[in-house]
Amino acid sequence: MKVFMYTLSTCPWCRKTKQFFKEKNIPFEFVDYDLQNEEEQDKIMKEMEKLSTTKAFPFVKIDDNVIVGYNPDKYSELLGEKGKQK
Amino acid sequence: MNPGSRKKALRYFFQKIIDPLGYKFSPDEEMVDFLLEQEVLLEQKHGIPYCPCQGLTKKREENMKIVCPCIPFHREHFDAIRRCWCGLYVHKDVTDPDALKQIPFNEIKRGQDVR
Amino acid sequence: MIGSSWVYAIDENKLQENINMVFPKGLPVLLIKKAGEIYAISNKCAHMACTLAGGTLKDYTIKCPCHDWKFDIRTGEFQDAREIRIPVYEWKLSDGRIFIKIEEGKK
Ligand code: SF4
Ligand code: FES
Repeated sequence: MKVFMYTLSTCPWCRKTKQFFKEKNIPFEFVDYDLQNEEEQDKIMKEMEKLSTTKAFPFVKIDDNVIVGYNPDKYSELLGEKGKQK
Repeated sequence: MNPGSRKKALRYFFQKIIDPLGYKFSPDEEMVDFLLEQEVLLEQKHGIPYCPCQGLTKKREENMKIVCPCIPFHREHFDAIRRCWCGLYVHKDVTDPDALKQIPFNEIKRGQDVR
Repeated sequence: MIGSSWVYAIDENKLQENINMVFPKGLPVLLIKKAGEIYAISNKCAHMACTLAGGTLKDYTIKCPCHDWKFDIRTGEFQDAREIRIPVYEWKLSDGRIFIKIEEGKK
């Protein structure tokens, strides 16, 4: 299972999202959109807009599932057994 | 200007805008303070208090829709989730902001009220 | 009760087509002359109080130079949320002089 997310360094819900996965000991990778250069941001936004409709963060991918927004219930559901451990 | 007084100034400006729209500052004071602080920092960096929870692009027209308070440009979305995306503002009747969910616009059905 | 008074703003023959800035009693007011009509609105944006005079006028809409909020010069309404508006002032012409009605205790 692969967990990846686009986040903003300024957004409290992005912090909560990272915290959620940390607490469950689930490894994840993240890219802070606002700390990238313009070219990189362009690429990321295009990818996000293809998979969702929005400029809103956090943008989380659990395998091929996209979840926009801090949504612990959905993360847990997608993580299955792993999401239950504390 | 020091961040504390700028935070107060933003609060003063924004209160006048959100009130007629049916919104108030979130009762979660810690969240409000954190978000206003981020906006002050974004303002120092860009000259504009952009949204801390939405991404800037190269297009001015798009960026102007995420200057705080961006409620007028996302009314249908925020009215449905009963707060703005960041949670800086909530509908006036909200007393427990933690009970609200952060649902993206494309998952909201027209006219739906998510409670 | 709030009183109101007529305050001199500018001579009519000094008015230019489109945007004019005046300050009756120190109040920032925009007088907009357009197609023979005159409109008087606040010169302060409802968003973060930028000076609207630096913006652009198109038809009956003035766009704030700071973050592009658009207001109807006839009603003062913000185009994207009509509940928000900038003050619109009454004005009158007398002896070639334009006066603006200012309510006391309300700016
Ligand atoms: S989502 Fe909320 S905090 Fe962010 S810009 Fe919009 S109104 Fe402001
Ligand atoms: S101050 Fe006018 S649009 Fe922001």
